[in-house]
Amino acid sequence: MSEAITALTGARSGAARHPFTSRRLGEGLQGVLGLFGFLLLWYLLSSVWGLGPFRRLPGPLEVFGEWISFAPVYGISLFTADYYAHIGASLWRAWLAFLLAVATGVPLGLLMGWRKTVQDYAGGLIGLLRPIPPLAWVPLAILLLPTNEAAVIFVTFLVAFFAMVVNTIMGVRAIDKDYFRAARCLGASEWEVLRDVVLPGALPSIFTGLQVGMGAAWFSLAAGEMVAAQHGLGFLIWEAYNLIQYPTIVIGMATLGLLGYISSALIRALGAWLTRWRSQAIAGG
Amino acid sequence: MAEIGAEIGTKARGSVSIENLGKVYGAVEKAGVVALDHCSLAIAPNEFIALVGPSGCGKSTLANILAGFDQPNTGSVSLDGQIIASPSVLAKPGPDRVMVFQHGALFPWMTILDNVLYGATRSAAPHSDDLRASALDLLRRSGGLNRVAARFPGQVSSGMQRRIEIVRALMTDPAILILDEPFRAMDSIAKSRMHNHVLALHESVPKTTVFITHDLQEALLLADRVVVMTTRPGRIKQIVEVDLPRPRTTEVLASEKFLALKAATHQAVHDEALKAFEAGEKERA
Repeated sequence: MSEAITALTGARSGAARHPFTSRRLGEGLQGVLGLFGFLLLWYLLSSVWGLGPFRRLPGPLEVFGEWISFAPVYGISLFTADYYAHIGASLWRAWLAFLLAVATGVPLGLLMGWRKTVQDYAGGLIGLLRPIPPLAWVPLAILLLPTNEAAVIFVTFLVAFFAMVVNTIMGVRAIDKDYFRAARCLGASEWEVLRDVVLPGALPSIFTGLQVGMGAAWFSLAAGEMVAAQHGLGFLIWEAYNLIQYPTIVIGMATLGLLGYISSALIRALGAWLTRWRSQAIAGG
Repeated sequence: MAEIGAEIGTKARGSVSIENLGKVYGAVEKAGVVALDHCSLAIAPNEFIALVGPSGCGKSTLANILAGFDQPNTGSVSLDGQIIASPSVLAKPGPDRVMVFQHGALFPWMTILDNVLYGATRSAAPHSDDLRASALDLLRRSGGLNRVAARFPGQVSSGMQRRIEIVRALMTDPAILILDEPFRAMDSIAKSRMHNHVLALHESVPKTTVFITHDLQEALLLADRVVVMTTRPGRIKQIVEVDLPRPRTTEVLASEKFLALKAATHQAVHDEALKAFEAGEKERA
């Protein structure tokens, strides 16, 4: 129980602000150094040494040059409308699927964590369906759903949905039982307990689920787009593969990485704001 | 406002009658654990009762039945003539009997003011501005806590949290205030400050109070009567009248009268603690 309290009331030990801030600065710097190290290694392996399979890989300068070119060799750069059409298609699918997963997965997780009956009915089913890899759903989704578009969104939704259900359940279960008793003591109805205890108490874990769900959504979105879409970054990568356009493949991959990173950062920021009661640790009386 | 104390004090309510109360956990025919056995006790309005005994003596069971978290197997509890607990009455917590929990149960996701108003705003209440004002006043009288009203509970010390939780309970104007070992985890200086606070509060906002503790000295210091309970089966072993004058402060601890009272009661509690130890009762933290 005390574990749950610590988890919920947040980092009480986080009082030491200074080391935390400077450590973050250090981490930021180290992150940049790591990225540069990676780019340097890529450059050396592909453009300088041309080792083995890397001989065919375009170097970072080549890719970057294509990316910012007004007249890209393979037709995709920051200055082509097609690039943004692919980005738009992927963003739309990822966020639509993500929001659908939030709208269904979080309420279901709350109910499953809160009410044993719901858990009894849905728990086994979720446990069985969850391990099915998202790609395995693609054929069935394409056959059953009216459009390929719907199939891609469905597959993207599904992985995010499971991540959210599971994390929300864990979040509700970790809530200290005394909060429920206190709320009932103070005259809260069942609905008010759900609104004032279950939801806010599970929120930190829900946001973990949203982050994981968003990551998983991009993951299966790219896979789905490769198989079943006519637009989107996954499709772009797959098409570039078919046409053996190395720089475009890498541009597509890097763009997916960036979009995924930004999406997760947005969710993280929203989560940090909504659960700010956790991070604002003791600052003295 | 300041009248809240006077207003509450004038209502002669909070008379509790516990008759022949019994509680067995597990199946009776399979010799379940007898947590409470034939407990009878009458509590006068605004009386401060301390229940003392080692862990497993049923004092928490009694408190849970009083609060409506648990249902007795035999006997009954009535509050101001109304039966609130019996084998045939469905146990139901409510704002007329508010508990302050051992580990603290302020909602960490609500500001201190929202916590304090949580119970009060849902019982039939006057204008919310008045409620806010009386909440802030009660916080102010609890050691200037109105200054931290906008903070989250995780940002203040545990002593403050306890005082705030008591304010939250008092704001619903309960007939009984149940304090379940609220100062157990505190160091002796913080504890002693909390004792003076509770003593002063009981003067200004008198309430029928049931205080659970395993600490005899704490019980004698705070209570009008100390009820010593036996280890399983949980029975009332002895009721000690504490005829120390009020208003009291921790200074009374050094008085001869207090020491004599403590000496006279010590043996009864010590015997039970020893019995509990020999029975292998584990202390529940």
